[in-house]
Amino acid sequence: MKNYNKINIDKEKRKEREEFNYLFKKLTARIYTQLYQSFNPKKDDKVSLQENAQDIAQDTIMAYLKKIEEGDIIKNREAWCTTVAKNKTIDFFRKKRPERISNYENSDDEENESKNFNKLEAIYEDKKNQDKSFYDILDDECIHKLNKNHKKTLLLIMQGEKTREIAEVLSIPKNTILTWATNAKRQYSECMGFS
Amino acid sequence: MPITSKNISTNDLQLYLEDDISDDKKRLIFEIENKNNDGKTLTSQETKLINELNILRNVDDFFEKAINNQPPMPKELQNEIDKRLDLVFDKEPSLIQSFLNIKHLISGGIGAFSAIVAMLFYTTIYTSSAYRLVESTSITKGTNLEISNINFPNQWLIKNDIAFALSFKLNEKEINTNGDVKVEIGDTLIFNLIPLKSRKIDIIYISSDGEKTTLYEKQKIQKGKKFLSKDLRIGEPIGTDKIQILEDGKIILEKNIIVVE
Repeated sequence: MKNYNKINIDKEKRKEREEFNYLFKKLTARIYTQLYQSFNPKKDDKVSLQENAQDIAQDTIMAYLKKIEEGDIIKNREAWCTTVAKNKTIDFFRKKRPERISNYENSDDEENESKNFNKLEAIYEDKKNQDKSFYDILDDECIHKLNKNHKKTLLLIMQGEKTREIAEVLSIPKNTILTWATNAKRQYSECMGFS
Repeated sequence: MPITSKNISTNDLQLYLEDDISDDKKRLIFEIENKNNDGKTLTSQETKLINELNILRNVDDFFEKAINNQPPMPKELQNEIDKRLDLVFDKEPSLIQSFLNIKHLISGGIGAFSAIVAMLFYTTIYTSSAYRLVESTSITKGTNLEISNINFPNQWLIKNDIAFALSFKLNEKEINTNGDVKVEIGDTLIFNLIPLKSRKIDIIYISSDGEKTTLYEKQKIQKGKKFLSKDLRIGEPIGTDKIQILEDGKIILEKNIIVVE
């Protein structure tokens, strides 16, 4: 019986550890996408941008652990962390940019954005490379080939948003978002050679 | 009119993947998928749907994999999480079983794990019904004494590194320690306490008429071990009582108890 319990405990611990690890990765991906879109980093600055995303994700999980210790009941761990991470990312923008990212080009202009993206060297030549990390995907030409609306929608889907939520955030009819989402996925899939 | 595969659009397939679609459409797509998985012959319309679905799903899978391919969490954060997981899981396997069963009642969070450690040891505080005084201050450390009589708490208050929960003894009712705690005269309470670090504390019960009763004085409590508790029988007067936990004379946790008739 003791052995049985021990096995179960180890399994539960492993499961919890994995869940936290996945949450960390997911938060980092979301934050990095937001930072990437806002700062439009040069190739050399990407690593430090990734570090910034990791720092914010770590701070978020630490804040979660602290909150729980203070007696707060948080029913949805992921939802809570996502909201806090979003706020922390906004705070990050508001503050003076840390030295790490001081060289980033900040541009909201779509044309400049795509020109800059074109200058970037492709990190991975093989489109079918299945071992790409989330960081690499944002540099992928297949993302940047999409039109503005398709790209915006797909990036939100990548971050785990549902079309219903995207429609609410962008104040655009749900059916429009659905069409953008499916078209974006179809074009991306074709470009990546999935189908 | 029944839904057929002709009624399923590409947008519906996206909604299906998001699990945000009507039940009848969901059932139909699911059936077509099963038919395909079983190697049964599909109509041309069904084949088209399956192909569309695979295209949409492949992109999701690719993104999912890309998230997983990211670097793992930093060692420092992993250690912090491990510390808390070890605190709960390595203490008492039999109680972890209870924890797993009631986990959903508490919260999805790690704090719940900390709170559960509070079940590891069990003691009670007895007070006289007339005076609500502690009859005995002796503390019994042990595991699971009278466990079948206890209504295990499912809500814990965690403050200043102490997990605290009130529960009724011999009573089916549950207490939400995080909310308003209402008890009736004649109820018997116990409280569960677990520190996340070792410390010396005083515990005081203050009746609504101002009468103070020291339940514990300079009580040493150990990190990760459940604090001792005897029965606390509720007597008159009605009003709002308080349980205070103090360290070096400073209140580190306080809980109001509303006594009604």
